[in-house]
Amino acid sequence: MILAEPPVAPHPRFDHRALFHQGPGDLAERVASELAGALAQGEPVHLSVTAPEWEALRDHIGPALDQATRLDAGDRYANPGTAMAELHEFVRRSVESGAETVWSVGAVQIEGDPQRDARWVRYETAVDTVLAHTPLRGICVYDTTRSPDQVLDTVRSCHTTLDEPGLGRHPCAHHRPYDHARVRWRHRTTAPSIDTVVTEAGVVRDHLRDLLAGSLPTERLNDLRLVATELVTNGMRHGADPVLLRAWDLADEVVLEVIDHGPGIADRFADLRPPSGGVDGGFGMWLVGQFADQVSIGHDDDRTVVVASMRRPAR
Amino acid sequence: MRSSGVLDSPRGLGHHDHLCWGFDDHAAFLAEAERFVADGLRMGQRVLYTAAAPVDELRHHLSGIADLDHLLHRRTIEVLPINQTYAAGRHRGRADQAEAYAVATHAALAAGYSGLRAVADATVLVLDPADRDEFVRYEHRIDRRMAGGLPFSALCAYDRNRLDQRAIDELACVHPLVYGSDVTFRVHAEGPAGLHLSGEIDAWHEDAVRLVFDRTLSAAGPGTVMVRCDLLRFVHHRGLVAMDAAALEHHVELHLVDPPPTVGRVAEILALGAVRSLSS
Repeated sequence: MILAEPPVAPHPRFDHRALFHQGPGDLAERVASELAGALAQGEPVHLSVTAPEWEALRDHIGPALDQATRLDAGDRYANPGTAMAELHEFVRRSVESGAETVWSVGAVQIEGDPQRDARWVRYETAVDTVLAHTPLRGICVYDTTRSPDQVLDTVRSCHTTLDEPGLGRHPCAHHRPYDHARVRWRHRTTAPSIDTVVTEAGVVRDHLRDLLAGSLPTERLNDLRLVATELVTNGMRHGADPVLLRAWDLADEVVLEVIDHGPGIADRFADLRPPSGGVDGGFGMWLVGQFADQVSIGHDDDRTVVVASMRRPAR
Repeated sequence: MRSSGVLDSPRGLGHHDHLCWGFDDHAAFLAEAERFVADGLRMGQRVLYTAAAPVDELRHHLSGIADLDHLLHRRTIEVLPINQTYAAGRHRGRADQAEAYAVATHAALAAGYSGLRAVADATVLVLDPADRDEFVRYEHRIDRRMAGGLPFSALCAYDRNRLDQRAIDELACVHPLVYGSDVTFRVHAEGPAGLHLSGEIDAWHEDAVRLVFDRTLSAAGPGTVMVRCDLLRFVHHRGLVAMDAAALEHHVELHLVDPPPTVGRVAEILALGAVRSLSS
């Protein structure tokens, strides 16, 4: 089942471009002129690139680049929720200050792991719906010397514009929405450590504490318990019984699945769309996105399935 | 320091302790009330017993107390029908009731007692929701006096057979000590001007949180209110939003001290206007 999304009237200046380059020097040559022009006109520019990419851009643009808002790519792209929050807030503040065009250049951190990289593919798709109503010119830069071809092929499909070596800038001919079913979550190959019908959120928190205290750092465990609480609360308030929680305690991450039998979450990017307030707020799923490392929202076989994972810190 | 928590026995209260008991069995309540009075006498306190009954019946409830007539004659023990005890509140608003207890406590001190202890079955005063609203506000006002050092301790008893769970929860959650109730969170006075928030707050407590913060903050007045949260195990974001709304309404800034670790980040993400997270 394809879930409905809120209708978005695209802003005439909105553009979401994937730029494939062959290293920092190539990147700088291809965007320097455009960015220098934007900075010269006083347009806000947000840069989340690697240190070598920054240095190359500064060599081409000069001190004017220092006017840009800079955030290290590793910090910006810690997880999709916080990455979206940073970009959305930058665009919001810029537009409120009177900017007619807002620029963002970001080097999404691809890891070469199909499951983990799926979160960034989903993020890239979400940008098209979450920010399409704004005058954002988003340039997502991918180093083809470091990114797997399979990921780059997928990334192509979730941008409205492509900029490729030899082909230049052109509209994406194969733009298609993110497909939840394409994520092959590894956890489903093993039995969950927790598989329970949820009656109270507090009991879920207790189960997770009993399972993970001692093996997951306290701060991460508290984050996970908050994520689980928000998910089961959402299922109990907006879904239909029975609401189920499953948890997998894996070597490198903890994965939660919350299943209910309601009509589904209308916004499949609810964790990546800043809440607009109002009676129901929409803060619950937004908080899930801010605390979890990876989220997916799906609906099939009359069941709503939300998956959220939390990585274990590197040992 | 005052005691706080959920008790498995209503005994052993100190000079500033404030206990709520939602009882099912009236005979069990009377037995514990008598022990509560006897404890107060051992601690040198003047003791007041008040409930919805004539004086003779109230005296009979305490018939197990040694030398009862003598103690009543000396006014070491007083028994009063509930409507007489709370007459000040009935006629002039419950704000005056806290003052009345403060005056009675100082009178007890002046007479050589170590303080005042009251056991009150106030069920009949809170049957009506509007009366209950005002009574809960009074409960918090007197709790602030006790937390501020007034040597007054109280056992506040409410009959579950005449009040529903919601009513019991509303009353219990403003007490530092609870017996016979499974209230999930509590907000009580901490010192003369602060609050202590404990327990777990989930999404469905949103309305109750708004209600109790409206009631407690109405006694605080504008400014900053410190809220000790070291025994708060979890708070759902809807609970934080409810606190924030109440604080804004009462022109108060709530400083949550030592809340669960996620609270500060959630408050920041929600851009709450009147709730701050602090570490001690």
